[in-house]
Amino acid sequence: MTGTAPVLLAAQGVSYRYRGAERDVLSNVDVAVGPGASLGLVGESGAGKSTLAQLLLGLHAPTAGRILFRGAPLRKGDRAAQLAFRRSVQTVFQDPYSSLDPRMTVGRSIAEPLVSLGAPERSAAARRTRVASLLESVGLPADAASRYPSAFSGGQRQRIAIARALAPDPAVLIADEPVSALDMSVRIQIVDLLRELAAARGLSLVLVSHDLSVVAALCENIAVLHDGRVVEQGGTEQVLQAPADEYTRRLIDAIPRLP
Amino acid sequence: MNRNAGAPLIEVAGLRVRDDVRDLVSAVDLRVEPGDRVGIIGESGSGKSLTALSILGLLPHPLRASGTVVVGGTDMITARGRAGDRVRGSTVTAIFQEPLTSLDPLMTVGRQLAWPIARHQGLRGRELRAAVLESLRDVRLPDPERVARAHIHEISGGQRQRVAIAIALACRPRVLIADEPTTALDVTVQAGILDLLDTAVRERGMALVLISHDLAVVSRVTDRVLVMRDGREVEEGAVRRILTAPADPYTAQLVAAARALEAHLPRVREGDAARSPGDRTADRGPTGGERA
Repeated sequence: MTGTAPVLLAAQGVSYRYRGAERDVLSNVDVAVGPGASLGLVGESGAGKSTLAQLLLGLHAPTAGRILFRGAPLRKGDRAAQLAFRRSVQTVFQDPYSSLDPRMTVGRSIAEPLVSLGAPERSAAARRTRVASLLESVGLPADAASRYPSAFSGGQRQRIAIARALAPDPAVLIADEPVSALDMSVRIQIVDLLRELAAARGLSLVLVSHDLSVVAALCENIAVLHDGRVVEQGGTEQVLQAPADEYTRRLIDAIPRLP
Repeated sequence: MNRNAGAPLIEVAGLRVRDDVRDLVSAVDLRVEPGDRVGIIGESGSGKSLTALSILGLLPHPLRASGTVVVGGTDMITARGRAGDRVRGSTVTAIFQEPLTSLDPLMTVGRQLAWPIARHQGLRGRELRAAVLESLRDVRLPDPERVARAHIHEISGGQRQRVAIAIALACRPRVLIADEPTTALDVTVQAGILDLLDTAVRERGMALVLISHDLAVVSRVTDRVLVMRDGREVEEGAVRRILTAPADPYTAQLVAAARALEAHLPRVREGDAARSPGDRTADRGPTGGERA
């Protein structure tokens, strides 16, 4: 990433080793995303992309290096700073079937981060209004709030998960394989939705995907991970059109194309 | 076993699959002749896997098939026990998305492979061991001696799928059914498995039924495709025609979605033209991305 561009969330020289493991799953990784910018983390299984996303979310502390948010390292133990960070950096997971509590109405699920992260919507009525507007922004009717996740299709559930992530009005959305579990015709709809939401809200997007076309559709910058290292990063178009790294080339060449 | 030259290997007509309540598949027709390569494409709930299981005579209880499903001259709807096994062993074999579920975790790869080879090729002892290694080499597994001694948790996902293919091929079937064989695999591994399937069916003159949600995957190795949705056949035709002039609005929508995502990728470079379907002479061998 260029040194002059403003940075919102960054990994600096980050390595990570799972407890008891013999080697690092990430070694010396530098990535950054600016305000309103988008970064795709691509690679195959075991590349370390999901681990990197979890470090950026502050779910684990890196073994070496640091995660910086608005220029400051994440501080464990500072509860106010932690809450502010969680409000600002939200996530969407791959599987909307397991990421939504089946016993909670959709409205409660979406309002949950408002409650737990101390959002300004203090009253139940204010939260209902907020939930309705969030549902609208992801293309679902307001009455969806009173129903349960089981009443919705995979694509609709992913919309609900996105609405929940947007609830605390985050600055960064980290999405780990957000369309991989969805049917092909639904994928493109969710990709379009994420693009529109990011643009409309000035949201920074960190997208983890094994699917280069999804990353190309959503992200201006891309980092290619292989065996825990960033083998190449830069503007998505540049990297895809003229990959400098041999692994990146292999990855691009392997994608099956329509004749 | 009926090996009449003129008869189709698989004849499905008016297939209907029901559970106790409703139709899950209805009015599906499919005919597979020797050497055909047919794709079945559809999204979740389209009935593509149930169609495959009906052909194999392996529908789980309480699902029941009706209509016509004749494989190698045997009616798979009424075939029970040994009659069905005979068809599954010799006329048709299958590989599935997750090879872990079809491979035995307690048996070495070599032993799992020895069983069908002994049965179908009548080999024993040293000859059998040589045939096992040969069939591992055929699916381009590196270091066949090591793989033969390994248990399946000791090899990678791509290598497991190669072992599953080796076992399927050991039965010397006339048609291979591959149900989402690369969906769980990394894209560089997928490329190698598709190449392998392509080569294996060509060299053996086998027919292939490839089931996938991915149009690009299906179009890479098959010539004809059946499109399914909500348990029904939407349309059937040559891959190229389906992709360029879909007759059904649903197919058009599927193709448009796939093209819309692909449009974000750089165009295929000149030197890579050999990878396009129709040119099956390209055989790039195993890709390097399959280490355990």
